[in-house]
Amino acid sequence: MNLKEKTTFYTLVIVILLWVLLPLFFITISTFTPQKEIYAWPKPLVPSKFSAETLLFFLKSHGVIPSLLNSIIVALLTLILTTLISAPAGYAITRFSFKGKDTFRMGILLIRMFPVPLLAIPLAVTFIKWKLYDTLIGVAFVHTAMAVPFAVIITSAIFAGVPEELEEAAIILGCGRLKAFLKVSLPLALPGLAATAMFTFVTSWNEVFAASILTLNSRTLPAHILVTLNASPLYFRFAGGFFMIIPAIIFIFFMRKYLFHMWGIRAGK
Amino acid sequence: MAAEIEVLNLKKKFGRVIAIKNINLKIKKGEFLVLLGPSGCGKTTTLRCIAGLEKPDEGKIFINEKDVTNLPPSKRNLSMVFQNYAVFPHMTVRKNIEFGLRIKKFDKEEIENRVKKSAELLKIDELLERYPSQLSGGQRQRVAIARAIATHPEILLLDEPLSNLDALLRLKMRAELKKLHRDTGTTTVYVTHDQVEALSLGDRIAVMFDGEIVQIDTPRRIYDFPVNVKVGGFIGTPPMNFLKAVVEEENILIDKFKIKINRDAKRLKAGETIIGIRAENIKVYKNPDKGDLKAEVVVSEPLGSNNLLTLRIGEEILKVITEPDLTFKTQEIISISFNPEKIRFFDPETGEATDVVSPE
Amino acid sequence: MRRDKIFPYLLILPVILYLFLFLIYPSEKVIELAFRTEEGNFTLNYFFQMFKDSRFFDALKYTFLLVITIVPLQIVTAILIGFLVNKKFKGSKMFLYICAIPLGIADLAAGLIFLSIFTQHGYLNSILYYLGIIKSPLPFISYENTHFVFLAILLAEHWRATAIVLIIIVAGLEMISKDYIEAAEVMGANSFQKLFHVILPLLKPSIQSALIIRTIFAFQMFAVVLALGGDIIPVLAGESYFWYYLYRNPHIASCYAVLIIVISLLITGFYIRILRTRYEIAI
Repeated sequence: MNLKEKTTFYTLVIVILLWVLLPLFFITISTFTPQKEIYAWPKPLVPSKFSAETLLFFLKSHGVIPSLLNSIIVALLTLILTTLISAPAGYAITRFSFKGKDTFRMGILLIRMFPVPLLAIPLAVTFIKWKLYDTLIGVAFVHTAMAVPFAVIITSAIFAGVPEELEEAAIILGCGRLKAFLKVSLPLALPGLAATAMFTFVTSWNEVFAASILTLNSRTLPAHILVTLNASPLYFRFAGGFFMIIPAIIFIFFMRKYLFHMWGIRAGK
Repeated sequence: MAAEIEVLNLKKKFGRVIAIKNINLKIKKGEFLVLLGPSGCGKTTTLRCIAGLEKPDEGKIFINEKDVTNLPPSKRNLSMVFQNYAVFPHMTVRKNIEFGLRIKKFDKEEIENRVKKSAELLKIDELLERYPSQLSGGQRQRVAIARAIATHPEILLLDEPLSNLDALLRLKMRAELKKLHRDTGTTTVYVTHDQVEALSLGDRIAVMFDGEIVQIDTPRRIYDFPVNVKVGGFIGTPPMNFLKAVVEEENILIDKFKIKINRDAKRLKAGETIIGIRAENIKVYKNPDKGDLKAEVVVSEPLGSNNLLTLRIGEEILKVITEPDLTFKTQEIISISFNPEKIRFFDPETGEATDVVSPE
Repeated sequence: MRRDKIFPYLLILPVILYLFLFLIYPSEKVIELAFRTEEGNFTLNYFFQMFKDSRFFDALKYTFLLVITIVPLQIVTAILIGFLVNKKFKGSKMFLYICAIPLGIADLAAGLIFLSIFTQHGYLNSILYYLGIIKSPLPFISYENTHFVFLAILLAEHWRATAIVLIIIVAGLEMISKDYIEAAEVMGANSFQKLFHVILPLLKPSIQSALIIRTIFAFQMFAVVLALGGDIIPVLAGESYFWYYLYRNPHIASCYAVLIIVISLLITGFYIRILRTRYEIAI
């Protein structure tokens, strides 16, 4: 690259970084701006002082802490359910050849795009009958249905990254199949599986449509923010937005090595 | 049309890794030059510098006496065949061959003409409408070559073009490449790590180690007169045998055996040396007393057209080729004689040849 | 790869059962809710009610408008960033991670983030003031200003969901062997020819999958729209939510859901057809 090309190139890089980061900067700054300054005109781009006032107001608002806890519980339930259901299937796809495998794979790839949250509407009716309406596990069930297709694809990609020869070597050395899996494949796949779990957690944490349809009192954080949207002041909404993105940023940090597995791109070939 | 290439003091680093230390090379018009060396010796980097895909850190490249060091590949009137063929998967064979011609804005008739000619030359005229995914590796290889020659380049660069083919196909393509070169007369630079390929194809071979050309000569002379132990050990199947020896006036001492050399021994320094001798220049006698040296048979491997013997003399191991009908038992004691004409001498410290070096 | 008669089926059984219970079964239910009266008779009344609603055609219009503006914009942005990442400059990995951050951000959060910029008390007004362009704050987000609300939603969703496209594009670019580009270069192709005759055609499968995935998800757009515009701009998923949550009518809510599902299935069908015609990537 000559100088002119270099300048254009790095200018573009910087513009894109600003595009991604400025909104994140603004929401963070908003959260730490004193309440009065939120409504000030003109509003300083950096607050006169950093204050936890807005953040504390948000946390102390009615229903926020319980909904935060609810969100964490639902996300953890989803994570456990999803992992238990999908990991074996992901393993089966990579390690076994069986009749109907391609159909199963293709089906999973397509179901991944199905608008699952919309099914909360009929499920709300059913859940009242099943005594699951307004329960955390009920929400977790729908979130799991959303996450399972993704988790199957990701785990199969993760297991595909663990050479089968290693497992076979363990079997030759005298391990049973289960032991070979537990001693060889599982430890090697563990970081990837952890990343899959993170992905599932964030999927559930972020979901708002089903969560607000299926609950009345036991709302998750996004559901709580959504249904109180019109009744809450701006600084409440900003702090809510800020709170919701924290797991996302942690998630990207831990997930960075597995970004490509997420859409099953490597495994999809 | 063919061009002459000159490479002057070429140097190239990738980060801290030195790919090319210092390369000087002159390739004559219409010559088939092979860059031969183990992986990581800088041969591909040299080729890519000639192509213009890599910019050298230092040094200059001339094509037909014109400095092209800073010119992009498209301005050098050359073609290249890649190791993985790089046949575009989204284009038919025809489109692939047309690609360079269309970019060079030839008229329709000429394009059709040349596609037909080069496809016929490579015997792929039946496959023109197929996509690469419908072709075998060997066919893709032909498409890559047809695409390269369709533009009638002055220089054809080939980067390990046969390494992804199976053994039989490789043999066939090797002969075809040689014929193609004879038919087109294009200056050709061919990179390989396979010394058999190099010996069979090259007008000259440039042997490279660690980013430098250590010897450049005709295949025959490189085979017979390697400039050092490394080259001798790299070229030939089996490679040249090397034995510790001591020069004493007109004789050399190997282990406890004495061999007379009828050469002007004065040209050789007295004292320790390393001698090199190729497997086919050693004569084997069943009778342990007939030859100059006694040896013990370690392994005997029948290879069909001949037998490959692994022998031991004292602590030294050497490989010998014998006629197929002679059979040997393991641990059998036999005797051998060297063809004194074919013995080469190397410095025991540096490994460099000490006797005649390419009297050209 | 191992062969086993029963074991692999046991491993995939939980997925099949679970998806049956929470996907197939409610899918059947949603159709029932949309087409059956409380007494269990077939009816199209709910659909007629949906069509008659004054917001229905606006919702349909805006949903389609958002999809056809956002998706191509995302593809172009992602290809641009993908090319930058692919240059493998110092820090290009870090650059990719940063660009991928919105991947984990909820649509609701993205809406709120852009609200902090576009609201009357937001940063855009302040920046315009400091630049000397305006004297008093402009009401970007209001019923009088639907064009701007639309634009704000577009920008928020574009910001949030481009990361997914980016990941698909970067993966696609990585699979394109450098040899192809170099081969074109040796044959004299300029940057423009390399882009349009070699890189983009080879990237086509990736672009296609990104296009379809994003199109389908864009039809479910909902929280961004609510967070930024409330009910100023109606969209299909939002109407479904309102009908269920505000008006307590699961039937009409289901009609909207069925409509979105049908659109998604049509796009998916289209997707399968395209997948079939795609050439195989060979070395």
